Amino acid sequence: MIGLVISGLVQGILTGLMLAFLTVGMTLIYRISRLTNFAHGSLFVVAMYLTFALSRSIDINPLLFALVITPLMACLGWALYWGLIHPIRTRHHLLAVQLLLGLSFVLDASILIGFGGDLQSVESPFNSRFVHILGTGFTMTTMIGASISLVGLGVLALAIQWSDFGRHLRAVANDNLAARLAGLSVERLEGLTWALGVGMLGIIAPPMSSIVTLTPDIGLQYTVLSLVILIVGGMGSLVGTIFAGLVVGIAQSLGLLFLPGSFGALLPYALLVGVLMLRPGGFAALLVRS
Amino acid sequence: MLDIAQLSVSYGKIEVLHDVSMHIAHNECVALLGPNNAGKTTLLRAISGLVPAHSGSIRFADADIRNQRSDQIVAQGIIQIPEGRHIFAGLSVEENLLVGGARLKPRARRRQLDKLLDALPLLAELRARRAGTLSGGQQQLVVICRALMAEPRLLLIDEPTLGLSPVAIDDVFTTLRNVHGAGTTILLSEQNAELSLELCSRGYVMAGGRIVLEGDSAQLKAAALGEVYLT
Ligand SMILES: Nc1ncnc2c1ncn2[C@@H]1O[C@H](COP(=O)(O)OP(=O)(O)O)[C@@H](O)[C@H]1O
Ligand SMILES: [Mg+2]
Repeated sequence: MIGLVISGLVQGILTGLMLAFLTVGMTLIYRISRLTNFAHGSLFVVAMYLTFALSRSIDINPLLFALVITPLMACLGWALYWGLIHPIRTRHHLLAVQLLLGLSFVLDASILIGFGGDLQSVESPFNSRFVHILGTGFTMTTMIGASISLVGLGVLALAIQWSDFGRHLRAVANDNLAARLAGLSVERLEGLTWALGVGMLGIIAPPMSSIVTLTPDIGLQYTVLSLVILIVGGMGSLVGTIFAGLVVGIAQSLGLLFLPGSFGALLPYALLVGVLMLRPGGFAALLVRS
Repeated sequence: MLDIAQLSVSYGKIEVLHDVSMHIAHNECVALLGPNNAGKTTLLRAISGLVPAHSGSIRFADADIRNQRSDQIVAQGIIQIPEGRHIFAGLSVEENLLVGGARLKPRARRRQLDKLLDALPLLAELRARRAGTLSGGQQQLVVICRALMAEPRLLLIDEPTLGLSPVAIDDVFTTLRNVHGAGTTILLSEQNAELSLELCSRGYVMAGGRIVLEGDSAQLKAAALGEVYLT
Protein backbone atom coordinates (compact mmCIF):
# COMPACT_ATOMS: atom_id res chain seq x y z
CA MET A 1 0.00 0.00 0.00
CA ILE A 2 2.64 2.48 1.07
CA GLY A 3 4.75 1.34 -1.84
CA LEU A 4 1.87 2.01 -4.19
CA VAL A 5 1.43 5.54 -2.81
CA ILE A 6 5.12 6.27 -3.19
CA SER A 7 5.23 4.94 -6.70
CA GLY A 8 2.11 6.99 -7.52
CA LEU A 9 3.74 10.10 -6.07
CA VAL A 10 6.92 9.65 -8.10
CA GLN A 11 4.90 8.97 -11.24
CA GLY A 12 2.85 12.08 -10.47
CA ILE A 13 5.91 14.26 -10.04
CA LEU A 14 7.44 13.05 -13.31
CA THR A 15 4.18 13.59 -15.18
CA GLY A 16 3.64 16.88 -13.40
CA LEU A 17 6.97 18.25 -14.56
CA MET A 18 6.05 17.46 -18.14
CA LEU A 19 2.58 18.96 -17.71
CA ALA A 20 4.10 22.12 -16.25
CA PHE A 21 6.52 22.41 -19.15
CA LEU A 22 3.66 21.77 -21.55
CA THR A 23 1.59 24.55 -19.97
CA VAL A 24 4.24 27.16 -19.40
CA GLY A 25 4.09 28.38 -23.00
CA MET A 26 0.42 29.13 -22.47
CA THR A 27 1.34 30.92 -19.25
CA LEU A 28 3.85 33.20 -20.97
CA ILE A 29 1.43 34.03 -23.77
CA TYR A 30 -1.30 34.79 -21.27
CA ARG A 31 1.08 36.92 -19.28
CA ILE A 32 2.17 39.14 -22.13
CA SER A 33 -1.00 39.43 -24.20
CA ARG A 34 -3.71 38.61 -21.62
CA LEU A 35 -4.96 36.01 -24.04
CA THR A 36 -5.74 32.37 -23.35
CA ASN A 37 -4.42 30.24 -26.19
CA PHE A 38 -7.30 27.86 -26.70
CA ALA A 39 -5.38 26.16 -29.51
CA HIS A 40 -2.51 25.24 -27.19
CA GLY A 41 -3.49 21.57 -26.81
CA SER A 42 -4.12 21.09 -30.51
CA LEU A 43 -0.79 22.69 -31.37
CA PHE A 44 0.81 20.24 -28.96
CA VAL A 45 -0.93 17.35 -30.68
CA VAL A 46 0.30 18.67 -34.04
CA ALA A 47 3.84 18.54 -32.66
CA MET A 48 3.28 14.98 -31.45
CA TYR A 49 1.95 13.86 -34.85
CA LEU A 50 4.94 15.54 -36.49
CA THR A 51 7.10 13.31 -34.30
CA PHE A 52 5.01 10.34 -35.36
CA ALA A 53 5.32 11.20 -39.07
CA LEU A 54 9.08 11.67 -38.81
CA SER A 55 9.52 8.46 -36.83
CA ARG A 56 7.80 6.48 -39.57
CA SER A 57 10.18 7.71 -42.25
CA ILE A 58 13.46 8.21 -40.39
CA ASP A 59 14.86 5.49 -38.19
CA ILE A 60 16.62 7.35 -35.41
CA ASN A 61 15.73 7.92 -31.76
CA PRO A 62 12.51 9.99 -31.90
CA LEU A 63 13.75 12.32 -29.16
CA LEU A 64 16.14 13.77 -31.74
CA PHE A 65 13.22 15.06 -33.81
CA ALA A 66 12.88 17.86 -31.27
CA LEU A 67 15.76 19.53 -33.09
CA VAL A 68 13.55 19.94 -36.16
CA ILE A 69 10.11 20.23 -34.62
CA THR A 70 10.99 22.95 -32.10
CA PRO A 71 12.04 25.56 -34.69
CA LEU A 72 9.08 24.55 -36.86
CA MET A 73 6.64 25.05 -33.99
CA ALA A 74 8.33 28.35 -33.08
CA CYS A 75 7.80 29.61 -36.64
CA LEU A 76 4.20 28.44 -36.44
CA GLY A 77 3.69 30.36 -33.19
CA TRP A 78 5.27 33.46 -34.65
CA ALA A 79 3.11 33.22 -37.79
CA LEU A 80 0.00 32.65 -35.69
CA TYR A 81 0.64 35.85 -33.79
CA TRP A 82 1.22 38.01 -36.85
CA GLY A 83 -1.41 36.34 -39.02
CA LEU A 84 -4.22 35.78 -36.56
CA ILE A 85 -3.76 37.61 -33.27
CA HIS A 86 -2.04 40.86 -34.21
CA PRO A 87 -4.65 41.95 -36.78
CA ILE A 88 -7.44 41.76 -34.19
CA ARG A 89 -5.53 42.92 -31.12
CA THR A 90 -7.63 46.04 -30.64
CA ARG A 91 -10.93 44.20 -31.01
CA HIS A 92 -12.92 42.47 -28.27
CA HIS A 93 -10.85 39.67 -26.75
CA LEU A 94 -13.66 37.16 -27.26
CA LEU A 95 -12.96 37.40 -30.98
CA ALA A 96 -9.46 36.07 -30.38
CA VAL A 97 -10.87 33.32 -28.18
CA GLN A 98 -13.25 32.27 -30.97
CA LEU A 99 -10.49 32.35 -33.57
CA LEU A 100 -8.20 30.21 -31.43
CA LEU A 101 -10.95 27.72 -30.64
CA GLY A 102 -11.73 27.62 -34.36
CA LEU A 103 -8.08 27.05 -35.11
CA SER A 104 -7.98 24.13 -32.68
CA PHE A 105 -10.87 22.46 -34.54
CA VAL A 106 -9.13 23.07 -37.87
CA LEU A 107 -5.91 21.54 -36.52
CA ASP A 108 -7.73 18.52 -35.06
CA ALA A 109 -9.56 17.97 -38.35
CA SER A 110 -6.35 18.30 -40.38
CA ILE A 111 -4.71 15.64 -38.24
CA LEU A 112 -7.72 13.39 -38.72
CA ILE A 113 -7.52 13.89 -42.51
CA GLY A 114 -3.76 13.43 -42.62
CA PHE A 115 -3.37 10.48 -40.27
CA GLY A 116 -6.79 8.92 -39.90
CA GLY A 117 -8.56 8.20 -36.63
CA ASP A 118 -6.57 5.13 -35.57
CA LEU A 119 -4.70 4.95 -32.31
CA GLN A 120 -1.03 5.58 -32.94
CA SER A 121 2.08 5.49 -30.86
CA VAL A 122 5.68 6.43 -31.44
CA GLU A 123 8.12 3.56 -30.91
CA SER A 124 11.19 4.48 -28.93
CA PRO A 125 14.10 2.30 -27.87
CA PHE A 126 13.95 4.15 -24.55
CA ASN A 127 10.50 2.69 -23.87
CA SER A 128 12.03 -0.67 -23.04
CA ARG A 129 14.81 0.67 -20.81
CA PHE A 130 13.93 1.27 -17.19
CA VAL A 131 15.21 3.40 -14.35
CA HIS A 132 14.28 2.40 -10.80
CA ILE A 133 13.26 5.04 -8.28
CA LEU A 134 12.28 3.92 -4.77
CA GLY A 135 11.52 0.47 -6.02
CA THR A 136 9.43 1.34 -9.03
CA GLY A 137 10.61 1.18 -12.62
CA PHE A 138 10.00 4.11 -14.95
CA THR A 139 10.78 4.10 -18.65
CA MET A 140 13.80 5.96 -19.86
CA THR A 141 11.43 8.02 -22.04
CA THR A 142 9.54 9.23 -18.97
CA MET A 143 12.78 10.00 -17.15
CA ILE A 144 14.16 11.96 -20.09
CA GLY A 145 10.88 13.79 -20.66
CA ALA A 146 10.75 14.82 -17.00
CA SER A 147 14.44 15.80 -16.96
CA ILE A 148 14.10 17.92 -20.09
CA SER A 149 11.09 19.59 -18.49
CA LEU A 150 12.92 20.25 -15.23
CA VAL A 151 15.95 21.72 -16.97
CA GLY A 152 13.78 23.65 -19.42
CA LEU A 153 11.70 25.18 -16.66
CA GLY A 154 14.86 26.14 -14.77
CA VAL A 155 16.43 27.77 -17.81
CA LEU A 156 13.20 29.59 -18.54
CA ALA A 157 12.90 30.88 -14.98
CA LEU A 158 16.47 32.19 -15.12
CA ALA A 159 15.88 33.81 -18.50
CA ILE A 160 12.69 35.50 -17.34
CA GLN A 161 14.48 36.89 -14.31
CA TRP A 162 17.83 37.88 -15.80
CA SER A 163 17.77 38.29 -19.58
CA ASP A 164 16.76 41.45 -21.42
CA PHE A 165 13.95 39.55 -23.11
CA GLY A 166 12.65 38.32 -19.75
CA ARG A 167 12.82 41.75 -18.17
CA HIS A 168 11.04 43.29 -21.15
CA LEU A 169 8.38 40.60 -21.07
CA ARG A 170 7.72 41.31 -17.40
CA ALA A 171 7.66 45.05 -18.11
CA VAL A 172 5.02 44.64 -20.81
CA ALA A 173 2.98 42.38 -18.53
CA ASN A 174 3.26 44.98 -15.74
CA ASP A 175 2.38 48.09 -17.72
CA ASN A 176 1.86 48.00 -21.44
CA LEU A 177 1.79 51.79 -21.91
CA ALA A 178 4.95 52.41 -19.92
CA ALA A 179 6.68 49.63 -21.86
CA ARG A 180 5.77 51.29 -25.16
CA LEU A 181 7.00 54.64 -23.90
CA ALA A 182 10.28 53.03 -22.90
CA GLY A 183 10.70 52.24 -26.58
CA LEU A 184 9.91 48.54 -26.42
CA SER A 185 8.22 47.15 -29.48
CA VAL A 186 5.39 45.40 -27.67
CA GLU A 187 4.24 43.69 -30.87
CA ARG A 188 7.68 42.23 -31.52
CA LEU A 189 7.87 40.95 -27.94
CA GLU A 190 4.42 39.40 -28.21
CA GLY A 191 5.42 37.72 -31.46
CA LEU A 192 8.57 36.34 -29.84
CA THR A 193 6.57 35.10 -26.87
CA TRP A 194 4.18 33.26 -29.17
CA ALA A 195 7.19 31.75 -30.93
CA LEU A 196 8.68 30.71 -27.59
CA GLY A 197 5.42 29.45 -26.10
CA VAL A 198 4.47 27.35 -29.11
CA GLY A 199 8.06 26.40 -29.92
CA MET A 200 8.48 24.81 -26.47
CA LEU A 201 5.81 22.30 -27.44
CA GLY A 202 8.29 20.95 -29.97
CA ILE A 203 10.71 20.08 -27.16
CA ILE A 204 8.25 18.09 -25.08
CA ALA A 205 6.24 16.53 -27.92
CA PRO A 206 8.81 13.82 -28.87
CA PRO A 207 9.06 12.25 -25.39
CA MET A 208 5.32 12.67 -24.74
CA SER A 209 4.41 11.04 -28.05
CA SER A 210 6.23 7.88 -26.93
CA ILE A 211 4.38 7.93 -23.61
CA VAL A 212 0.76 8.60 -24.56
CA THR A 213 -1.47 7.11 -27.24
CA LEU A 214 -2.17 9.48 -30.10
CA THR A 215 -5.61 10.08 -31.53
CA PRO A 216 -6.60 13.21 -33.45
CA ASP A 217 -9.18 14.30 -30.88
CA ILE A 218 -6.98 14.70 -27.80
CA GLY A 219 -6.11 18.33 -28.51
CA LEU A 220 -8.99 19.75 -26.55
CA GLN A 221 -8.16 17.52 -23.58
CA TYR A 222 -4.66 18.98 -23.44
CA THR A 223 -6.02 22.49 -23.81
CA VAL A 224 -8.35 21.94 -20.87
CA LEU A 225 -5.64 20.30 -18.79
CA SER A 226 -3.28 23.21 -19.48
CA LEU A 227 -6.06 25.63 -18.70
CA VAL A 228 -6.61 23.95 -15.32
CA ILE A 229 -2.89 24.25 -14.57
CA LEU A 230 -2.81 27.86 -15.78
CA ILE A 231 -5.73 28.82 -13.56
CA VAL A 232 -4.67 26.82 -10.51
CA GLY A 233 -1.22 28.34 -10.90
CA GLY A 234 -2.66 31.84 -10.73
CA MET A 235 -2.93 32.98 -14.39
CA GLY A 236 0.48 34.01 -15.59
CA SER A 237 2.79 33.06 -12.75
CA LEU A 238 5.72 30.89 -13.81
CA VAL A 239 6.36 29.44 -10.36
CA GLY A 240 2.61 29.00 -9.86
CA THR A 241 2.41 27.03 -13.11
CA ILE A 242 5.20 24.70 -12.01
CA PHE A 243 3.51 24.04 -8.66
CA ALA A 244 0.14 23.56 -10.31
CA GLY A 245 1.64 21.17 -12.87
CA LEU A 246 3.09 19.05 -10.10
CA VAL A 247 -0.13 19.05 -8.08
CA VAL A 248 -2.24 18.14 -11.12
CA GLY A 249 0.24 15.42 -12.10
CA ILE A 250 0.16 13.91 -8.61
CA ALA A 251 -3.63 14.20 -8.37
CA GLN A 252 -3.98 12.45 -11.70
CA SER A 253 -1.67 9.59 -10.91
CA LEU A 254 -3.00 8.97 -7.39
CA GLY A 255 -6.54 9.33 -8.70
CA LEU A 256 -5.94 6.69 -11.34
CA LEU A 257 -4.48 4.38 -8.71
CA PHE A 258 -7.08 4.76 -5.98
CA LEU A 259 -10.34 5.96 -7.53
CA PRO A 260 -12.56 3.69 -9.57
CA GLY A 261 -12.49 4.05 -13.36
CA SER A 262 -12.73 7.49 -14.86
CA PHE A 263 -13.10 9.27 -11.51
CA GLY A 264 -9.34 9.49 -11.34
CA ALA A 265 -9.17 11.42 -14.57
CA LEU A 266 -11.70 13.87 -13.16
CA LEU A 267 -9.59 14.68 -10.13
CA PRO A 268 -7.69 17.60 -11.74
CA TYR A 269 -10.99 19.33 -12.45
CA ALA A 270 -12.24 18.76 -8.93
CA LEU A 271 -8.95 20.29 -7.86
CA LEU A 272 -9.62 23.32 -10.05
CA VAL A 273 -13.00 23.89 -8.43
CA GLY A 274 -11.56 23.39 -4.96
CA VAL A 275 -8.66 25.76 -5.47
CA LEU A 276 -10.83 28.44 -7.01
CA MET A 277 -13.23 28.26 -4.09
CA LEU A 278 -10.50 28.52 -1.47
CA ARG A 279 -7.96 30.72 -3.28
CA PRO A 280 -9.39 32.57 -6.27
CA GLY A 281 -5.90 33.78 -7.15
CA GLY A 282 -4.53 30.24 -7.46
CA PHE A 283 -1.13 29.27 -6.13
CA ALA A 284 0.40 32.59 -7.18
CA ALA A 285 -1.77 34.33 -4.59
CA LEU A 286 -0.40 31.97 -1.94
CA LEU A 287 3.16 32.72 -3.00
CA VAL A 288 2.67 36.47 -2.87
CA ARG A 289 1.06 36.30 0.53
CA SER A 290 3.86 34.33 2.15
CA MET B 1 13.36 71.15 -32.57
CA LEU B 2 9.68 70.14 -32.36
CA ASP B 3 7.23 71.71 -34.79
CA ILE B 4 3.56 70.93 -34.67
CA ALA B 5 1.26 72.46 -37.24
CA GLN B 6 -2.53 72.34 -37.51
CA LEU B 7 -2.71 69.05 -35.70
CA SER B 8 -6.10 67.40 -35.23
CA VAL B 9 -6.66 64.24 -33.24
CA SER B 10 -9.79 62.18 -32.70
CA TYR B 11 -10.83 59.35 -30.46
CA GLY B 12 -13.12 57.36 -32.73
CA LYS B 13 -15.42 59.87 -34.38
CA ILE B 14 -14.98 62.58 -31.77
CA GLU B 15 -12.33 65.16 -32.54
CA VAL B 16 -10.66 66.32 -29.33
CA LEU B 17 -7.69 68.34 -30.64
CA HIS B 18 -8.41 71.04 -33.17
CA ASP B 19 -5.74 72.78 -35.21
CA VAL B 20 -3.01 72.71 -32.61
CA SER B 21 0.27 74.41 -33.55
CA MET B 22 3.32 74.62 -31.35
CA HIS B 23 7.03 75.17 -31.60
CA ILE B 24 9.76 74.13 -29.18
CA ALA B 25 13.35 75.17 -29.71
CA HIS B 26 16.44 73.22 -28.68
CA ASN B 27 17.16 73.50 -24.91
CA GLU B 28 13.88 75.19 -24.14
CA CYS B 29 11.55 74.31 -21.30
CA VAL B 30 7.98 74.91 -22.38
CA ALA B 31 4.92 74.67 -20.13
CA LEU B 32 1.63 73.26 -21.34
CA LEU B 33 -1.12 74.59 -19.14
CA GLY B 34 -4.86 74.24 -19.02
CA PRO B 35 -7.71 72.74 -17.02
CA ASN B 36 -8.78 69.11 -16.94
CA ASN B 37 -9.94 67.75 -20.30
CA ALA B 38 -8.24 70.59 -22.19
CA GLY B 39 -6.43 68.06 -24.37
CA LYS B 40 -2.93 68.18 -22.89
CA THR B 41 -2.59 64.43 -22.46
CA THR B 42 -3.99 63.80 -25.93
CA LEU B 43 -1.43 66.15 -27.46
CA LEU B 44 1.45 64.36 -25.72
CA ARG B 45 0.03 60.99 -26.69
CA ALA B 46 -0.13 62.10 -30.32
CA ILE B 47 3.49 63.27 -30.26
CA SER B 48 4.56 59.88 -28.85
CA GLY B 49 2.59 58.00 -31.47
CA LEU B 50 0.10 56.46 -29.02
CA VAL B 51 -2.94 57.91 -30.78
CA PRO B 52 -3.09 58.53 -34.53
CA ALA B 53 -3.34 62.10 -35.77
CA HIS B 54 -5.54 62.40 -38.83
CA SER B 55 -4.36 65.77 -40.07
CA GLY B 56 -1.61 68.30 -39.54
CA SER B 57 2.07 67.61 -39.05
CA ILE B 58 4.49 66.79 -36.27
CA ARG B 59 8.12 67.39 -37.18
CA PHE B 60 11.05 66.60 -34.95
CA ALA B 61 14.56 67.65 -35.91
CA ASP B 62 13.25 68.20 -39.44
CA ALA B 63 11.81 64.73 -39.90
CA ASP B 64 8.09 64.04 -40.09
CA ILE B 65 7.22 61.79 -37.17
CA ARG B 66 3.44 61.95 -37.39
CA ASN B 67 2.02 58.43 -37.17
CA GLN B 68 5.35 56.70 -36.77
CA ARG B 69 5.30 53.79 -34.32
CA SER B 70 5.92 54.72 -30.70
CA ASP B 71 9.16 52.70 -30.54
CA GLN B 72 10.47 54.56 -33.60
CA ILE B 73 9.66 57.87 -31.96
CA VAL B 74 11.42 56.82 -28.77
CA ALA B 75 14.42 55.80 -30.88
CA GLN B 76 14.72 59.41 -32.03
CA GLY B 77 14.97 60.64 -28.48
CA ILE B 78 11.42 61.76 -27.69
CA ILE B 79 10.72 60.25 -24.30
CA GLN B 80 7.44 60.65 -22.48
CA ILE B 81 6.72 60.38 -18.78
CA PRO B 82 3.01 59.59 -18.88
CA GLU B 83 0.30 60.82 -16.61
CA GLY B 84 -0.54 58.67 -13.60
CA ARG B 85 2.75 57.14 -12.54
CA HIS B 86 3.07 54.18 -14.85
CA ILE B 87 5.71 52.34 -12.92
CA PHE B 88 6.58 48.65 -13.44
CA ALA B 89 5.27 47.78 -9.99
CA GLY B 90 6.45 44.17 -10.00
CA LEU B 91 10.00 45.01 -11.12
CA SER B 92 12.76 46.30 -8.89
CA VAL B 93 13.85 49.93 -9.08
CA GLU B 94 16.99 48.89 -10.93
CA GLU B 95 14.99 46.80 -13.40
CA ASN B 96 12.66 49.74 -14.00
CA LEU B 97 15.65 51.85 -14.92
CA LEU B 98 17.16 49.14 -17.13
CA VAL B 99 13.94 48.88 -19.10
CA GLY B 100 14.08 52.64 -19.55
CA GLY B 101 17.43 52.15 -21.27
CA ALA B 102 16.14 49.25 -23.37
CA ARG B 103 17.37 50.79 -26.60
CA LEU B 104 20.96 51.25 -25.40
CA LYS B 105 23.66 48.63 -25.83
CA PRO B 106 24.14 46.61 -22.60
CA ARG B 107 27.42 48.37 -21.69
CA ALA B 108 26.08 51.86 -22.37
CA ARG B 109 22.97 50.95 -20.39
CA ARG B 110 25.02 49.94 -17.35
CA ARG B 111 27.07 53.12 -17.61
CA GLN B 112 23.94 55.27 -17.82
CA LEU B 113 22.48 53.42 -14.82
CA ASP B 114 25.58 54.04 -12.72
CA LYS B 115 25.65 57.69 -13.74
CA LEU B 116 22.03 58.26 -12.72
CA LEU B 117 22.33 56.36 -9.46
CA ASP B 118 25.45 58.36 -8.60
CA ALA B 119 23.50 61.56 -9.14
CA LEU B 120 20.54 60.35 -7.09
CA PRO B 121 21.83 58.54 -3.99
CA LEU B 122 18.25 58.16 -2.76
CA LEU B 123 17.45 55.86 -5.67
CA ALA B 124 20.75 54.04 -5.29
CA GLU B 125 19.61 53.03 -1.82
CA LEU B 126 16.31 51.74 -3.16
CA ARG B 127 17.67 49.96 -6.21
CA ALA B 128 16.77 46.43 -5.09
CA ARG B 129 13.30 47.32 -3.80
CA ARG B 130 10.15 46.30 -5.64
CA ALA B 131 9.00 49.54 -7.25
CA GLY B 132 5.38 48.95 -6.25
CA THR B 133 6.30 49.21 -2.58
CA LEU B 134 7.71 52.76 -2.83
CA SER B 135 5.90 55.95 -1.84
CA GLY B 136 4.25 58.07 -4.52
CA GLY B 137 7.07 60.59 -4.53
CA GLN B 138 9.75 57.90 -4.78
CA GLN B 139 7.85 56.23 -7.60
CA GLN B 140 7.69 59.47 -9.53
CA LEU B 141 11.46 59.88 -9.19
CA VAL B 142 11.95 56.33 -10.47
CA VAL B 143 9.69 57.07 -13.43
CA ILE B 144 11.60 60.28 -14.22
CA CYS B 145 14.91 58.46 -13.97
CA ARG B 146 13.59 55.65 -16.13
CA ALA B 147 12.93 58.24 -18.84
CA LEU B 148 16.40 59.72 -18.37
CA MET B 149 17.92 56.27 -18.94
CA ALA B 150 16.92 56.63 -22.59
CA GLU B 151 19.10 59.77 -22.94
CA PRO B 152 16.17 61.93 -24.10
CA ARG B 153 16.59 64.80 -26.50
CA LEU B 154 13.04 65.94 -25.85
CA LEU B 155 11.29 65.03 -22.61
CA LEU B 156 7.48 65.11 -22.55
CA ILE B 157 6.17 65.17 -18.99
CA ASP B 158 2.49 64.80 -18.20
CA GLU B 159 1.31 66.14 -14.82
CA PRO B 160 4.19 64.72 -12.78
CA THR B 161 2.99 66.22 -9.51
CA LEU B 162 -0.57 64.88 -9.58
CA GLY B 163 -1.45 63.48 -6.18
CA LEU B 164 1.94 64.15 -4.58
CA SER B 165 2.62 65.80 -1.24
CA PRO B 166 4.11 69.33 -1.26
CA VAL B 167 7.52 67.94 -0.26
CA ALA B 168 7.44 65.37 -3.07
CA ILE B 169 6.36 68.08 -5.54
CA ASP B 170 9.45 70.09 -4.54
CA ASP B 171 11.63 67.02 -5.14
CA VAL B 172 10.14 66.49 -8.57
CA PHE B 173 10.66 70.11 -9.61
CA THR B 174 14.21 70.14 -8.27
CA THR B 175 14.95 67.06 -10.34
CA LEU B 176 13.35 68.58 -13.43
CA ARG B 177 15.34 71.78 -12.94
CA ASN B 178 18.55 69.74 -12.89
CA VAL B 179 17.49 67.80 -15.97
CA HIS B 180 16.77 70.99 -17.85
CA GLY B 181 19.98 72.53 -16.56
CA ALA B 182 21.90 69.60 -18.00
CA GLY B 183 20.61 70.52 -21.45
CA THR B 184 17.46 68.46 -22.02
CA THR B 185 14.58 70.08 -23.88
CA ILE B 186 11.32 69.76 -21.94
CA LEU B 187 7.62 70.03 -22.64
CA LEU B 188 5.86 70.00 -19.27
CA SER B 189 2.12 69.58 -18.96
CA GLU B 190 0.92 70.82 -15.58
CA GLN B 191 -2.13 72.22 -13.89
CA ASN B 192 0.10 73.95 -11.38
CA ALA B 193 0.82 77.08 -13.46
CA GLU B 194 2.86 78.89 -10.86
CA LEU B 195 5.50 76.20 -10.37
CA SER B 196 5.79 75.28 -14.03
CA LEU B 197 6.11 78.87 -15.21
CA GLU B 198 8.93 79.31 -12.73
CA LEU B 199 10.77 76.37 -14.30
CA CYS B 200 9.86 77.09 -17.92
CA SER B 201 10.57 80.22 -19.89
CA ARG B 202 7.56 79.96 -22.15
CA GLY B 203 4.20 78.29 -22.28
CA TYR B 204 1.00 77.44 -24.07
CA VAL B 205 -2.46 77.39 -22.57
CA MET B 206 -4.97 74.88 -23.87
CA ALA B 207 -8.72 74.74 -23.42
CA GLY B 208 -11.33 72.69 -25.22
CA GLY B 209 -8.75 71.04 -27.44
CA ARG B 210 -7.25 74.27 -28.77
CA ILE B 211 -4.31 76.47 -27.92
CA VAL B 212 -5.94 79.59 -26.53
CA LEU B 213 -2.91 81.51 -25.37
CA GLU B 214 0.83 81.45 -25.75
CA GLY B 215 3.64 83.61 -24.49
CA ASP B 216 6.64 83.84 -22.23
CA SER B 217 6.28 83.02 -18.57
CA ALA B 218 5.91 86.63 -17.41
CA GLN B 219 3.08 87.23 -19.87
CA LEU B 220 1.30 84.02 -18.91
CA LYS B 221 1.66 84.80 -15.20
CA ALA B 222 0.14 88.21 -15.74
CA ALA B 223 -2.64 86.69 -17.80
CA ALA B 224 -3.25 84.12 -15.12
CA LEU B 225 -4.30 86.81 -12.68
CA GLY B 226 -7.29 87.72 -14.78
CA GLU B 227 -8.10 84.48 -16.53
CA VAL B 228 -10.05 81.41 -15.60
CA TYR B 229 -7.94 78.94 -17.61
CA LEU B 230 -5.16 78.72 -15.14
CA THR B 231 -7.03 77.89 -11.99
N1 LIG C 1 -9.37 57.38 -24.55
C1 LIG C 1 -10.25 58.37 -24.78
N2 LIG C 1 -11.37 58.13 -25.54
C2 LIG C 1 -12.26 59.10 -25.78
N3 LIG C 1 -12.13 60.36 -25.35
C3 LIG C 1 -11.06 60.68 -24.61
C4 LIG C 1 -10.06 59.70 -24.29
N4 LIG C 1 -9.11 60.29 -23.55
C5 LIG C 1 -9.48 61.57 -23.42
N5 LIG C 1 -10.65 61.82 -24.04
C6 LIG C 1 -11.33 63.11 -24.15
O1 LIG C 1 -10.45 64.00 -24.80
C7 LIG C 1 -10.51 65.28 -24.20
C8 LIG C 1 -9.12 65.71 -23.80
O2 LIG C 1 -8.67 64.88 -22.72
P1 LIG C 1 -7.17 64.90 -22.18
O3 LIG C 1 -6.29 64.94 -23.35
O4 LIG C 1 -7.04 63.78 -21.24
O5 LIG C 1 -7.13 66.30 -21.43
P2 LIG C 1 -6.15 66.77 -20.24
O6 LIG C 1 -4.94 65.94 -20.24
O7 LIG C 1 -5.88 68.21 -20.57
O8 LIG C 1 -6.93 66.65 -18.97
C9 LIG C 1 -11.47 65.18 -23.05
O9 LIG C 1 -12.72 65.70 -23.45
C10 LIG C 1 -11.60 63.70 -22.79
O10 LIG C 1 -12.86 63.38 -22.32
MG1 LIG D 1 -4.15 64.88 -18.73
